[in-house]
Amino acid sequence: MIKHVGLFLQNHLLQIKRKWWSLPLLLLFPIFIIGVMMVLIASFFSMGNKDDVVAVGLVDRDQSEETRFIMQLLEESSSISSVLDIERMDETEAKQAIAENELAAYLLFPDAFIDDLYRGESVELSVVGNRKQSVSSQLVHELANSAVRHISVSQANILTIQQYAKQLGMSEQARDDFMMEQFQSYLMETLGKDQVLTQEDIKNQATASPVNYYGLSAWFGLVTVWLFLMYHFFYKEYSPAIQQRMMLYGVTPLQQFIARFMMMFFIMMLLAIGSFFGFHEWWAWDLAGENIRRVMILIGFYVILLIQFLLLIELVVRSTKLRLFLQFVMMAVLFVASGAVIPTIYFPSYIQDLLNLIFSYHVFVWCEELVLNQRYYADYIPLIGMSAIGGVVVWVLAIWKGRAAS
Amino acid sequence: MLQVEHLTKHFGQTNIIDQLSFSIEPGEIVGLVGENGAGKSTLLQLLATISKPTSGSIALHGLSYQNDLKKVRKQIGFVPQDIAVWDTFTVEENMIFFEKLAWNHRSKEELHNLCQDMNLFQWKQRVSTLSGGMKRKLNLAISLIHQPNLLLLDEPTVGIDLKSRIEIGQYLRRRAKEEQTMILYTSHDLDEIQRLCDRVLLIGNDPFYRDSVKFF
Amino acid sequence: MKAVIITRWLFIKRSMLSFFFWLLLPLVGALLLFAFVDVVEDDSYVPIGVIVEEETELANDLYQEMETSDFVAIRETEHDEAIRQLQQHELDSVFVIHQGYQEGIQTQQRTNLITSYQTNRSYAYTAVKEMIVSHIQEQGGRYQAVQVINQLSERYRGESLWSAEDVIQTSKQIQAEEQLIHASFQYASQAEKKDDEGSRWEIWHIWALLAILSSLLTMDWLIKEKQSFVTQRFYFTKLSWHDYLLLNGFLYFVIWLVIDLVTYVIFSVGFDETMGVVTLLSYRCMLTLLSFCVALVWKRLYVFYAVSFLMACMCGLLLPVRDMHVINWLHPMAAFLDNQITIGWLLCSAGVILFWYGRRRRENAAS
Repeated sequence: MIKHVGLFLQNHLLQIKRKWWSLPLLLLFPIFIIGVMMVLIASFFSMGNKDDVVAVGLVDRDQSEETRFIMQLLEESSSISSVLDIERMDETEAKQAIAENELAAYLLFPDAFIDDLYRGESVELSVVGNRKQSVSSQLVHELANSAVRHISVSQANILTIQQYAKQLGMSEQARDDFMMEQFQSYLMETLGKDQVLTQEDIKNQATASPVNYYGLSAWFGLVTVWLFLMYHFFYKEYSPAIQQRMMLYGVTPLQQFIARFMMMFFIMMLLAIGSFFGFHEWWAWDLAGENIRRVMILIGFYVILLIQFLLLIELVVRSTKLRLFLQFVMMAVLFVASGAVIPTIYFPSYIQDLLNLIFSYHVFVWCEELVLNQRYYADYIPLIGMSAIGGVVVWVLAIWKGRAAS
Repeated sequence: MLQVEHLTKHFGQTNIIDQLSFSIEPGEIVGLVGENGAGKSTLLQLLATISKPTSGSIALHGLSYQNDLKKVRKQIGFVPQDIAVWDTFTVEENMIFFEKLAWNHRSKEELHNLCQDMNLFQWKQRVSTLSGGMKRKLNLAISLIHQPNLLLLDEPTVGIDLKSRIEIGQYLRRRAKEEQTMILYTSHDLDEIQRLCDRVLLIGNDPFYRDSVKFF
Repeated sequence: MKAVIITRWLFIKRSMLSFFFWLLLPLVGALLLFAFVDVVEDDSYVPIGVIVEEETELANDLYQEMETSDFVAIRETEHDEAIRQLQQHELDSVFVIHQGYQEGIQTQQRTNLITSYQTNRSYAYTAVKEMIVSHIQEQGGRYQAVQVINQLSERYRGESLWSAEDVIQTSKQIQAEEQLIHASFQYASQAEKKDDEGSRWEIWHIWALLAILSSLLTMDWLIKEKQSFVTQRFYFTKLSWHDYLLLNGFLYFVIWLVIDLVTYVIFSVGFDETMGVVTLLSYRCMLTLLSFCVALVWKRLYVFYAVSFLMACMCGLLLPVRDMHVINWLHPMAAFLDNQITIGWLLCSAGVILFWYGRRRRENAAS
């Protein structure tokens, strides 16, 4: 038994030797993928970043006193100018600027905007976006939507005031002036809306910044992708003739599994630990020795459980195509469920309830606690349980498969 | 009739076949004998139009291989050394598959009879569950679907039991006689060659084969 | 062609289940994933902590409003506990409604009525804050109207004619009756206008991605048949080997088109997602040719599968950045998703196949 396992281990080593040239490719490719993902996430979050100001044009077709007032306010308001760079222009200029990719979007105030607003007619504020800056365009759209919500509330109030004012017998001229005054007052309120709250930034642990969170995610993702690729590197389909011959020599699927398992575990731990120190240095996590040890143990469990999971699918699904597909989908599900892409607190509650059953979640949560929240504790009990169950299931299935084959 | 004149084939510097000339008459079975690497398979591939000679000419019933390739191919049945059938199909499906791709139409009954003539009775059975002998028979049967005049067999009986071997031999004899098919046949089994063939074509320089053939 | 259909049927009927699984994967997968994302998105919430320091009507009103919002889940806790949870990132953000909130609203002293706490990991903070502020704004605006009307009536009539409740009621009524102002969105280059077209995942995106994977994986017949000894027989058939392959490829193209048609109908009826027929046709054509090319290149089935997954994976990962000029130009799905005819990849794949076909043909004729 052990002799056979040893033989297969040797065989796997030979495999590495024979295909050594593909290994760097195999290991570098995920780094590239994850790099791309990081750039993506970074670019997504920098949308809200104060440094990146989105250029927006304002087109006023109405040309009323009120719209001019709005434009002026929008241009000058500091709370807006930190996000948007607003410039007044006419429509042809705006179209030109979008064609030249100088604007992310422009806002269009239609003809008779204010009149319609006062008379309670439906009005439409158009946002015209730039396809080349679709994310920024959407941002402008969101802001416009939010502004419109505020305006519609104010409008209702202005119309209310107007309705009561009519009953008071004000002269039309006086009422118009008064409405203008009210309009300005409401607009000022809207622009200053954030004053109702004091915003406090809580300093959490310096280590718990999004940068570190995504650093940890990247490392976790890297280990996951590496493992998936390693699995396929060591996977070998034997022809029925060879399988038969191996069976004659008393080789069981279980022995092959154990050899593959050991080989993968060993290499994955090397890769995981090596890359962890890389990340540790790069992001200056500065963990205590005992916590580094805890992270290693956690990732060890993760590697064991993932290999078990892949082997399980291999045992159950016979069609190569379907098996690859399922393995691929399950890896993706496990990765998302770990909370490495979106923090799990934002998941629906019924999904959060299920997460306790998923090992990737346990591993990532405790890694987060150790790396981001500087805890000095990790709970291995669920992981020990799961890997024991996984081991037994794979063991039994492999033996059963060996029996069925002979 | 098949006429081969001054046929030569080089692979790089090596001469596999050098200035070979022979002919086969309709209804004749010719055994092709030679040691491994003597060029038996190469010769069969040249005759089967799968590869092209360096020089020399081949003609089948007056049709030149160079000029009338398409017409020539319609008359050739080639039985490869490998079992070139769909493993997952049944015998029936294999026959139908190749009938659909053949030049001439054969009814299902004709296909069935073709197999029966060869004592291949497992019409509905999957190829992967057939014995080696049955697979060989099917391999041969498929090559006969388009009723070729020239049948080229590359070790058609390798690794199968005596009964199937004899059955295939008998069938080939019958076919040569009844349909006037020309058959060129390679085998390492000299007994079989002796039993089956009208003539022997010896290629290569191995003295062992030269001596053995003398006893015929 | 009839021969090709019959011979292909012999293969397909052995593996009907698998055949339809991969054929329907883009359609069914897109529907399932779309439904799943939709449900999850609806059910997702942002956990926030709320501390109410005063028991007044308006403060409770605000709290109620927050509670009925469908994207936050409120956890009412003690101040310190909330802050601790925030630091541990168990809460996204914390809001404290201060003592004196009601008075502030009623007297138009609307500064610093509540305090918000956020950390650098409060990803949803801006959205939640926006929601809360707009509620406060709403309350405040109404009381502003009350104040203005009272002042007016006192100036003209010397007394307050209407109660606060009346005015607020009227304002609410007006707001409810008329959806008076709204924002529309459109792209400058887009002909027709679509209200509220968000950056949400469109179902065609998912479909297009799965279609790449499934067309590659269904092309595996080419690898399997290429590896077989049977290829030797194609010298003696009326269809040459490359004609046989091409016609089979075409047959798959037709089968896919039928499925695509069903997909088109389902998506346009069920989701009101418009997509040009020619766009779809050209995309499918490109996919068939591309997967044919890939299957021609690789010899081993396992490697081919790996390459297929890799390609689909890369396409998926580069999808969000396809706005960048070079990627948009290179991405196989880009034209399709912009509702334009796929040309570049189509021509490239067709070129490779033509080259392969011409070369084989010459070789074959010469042999």
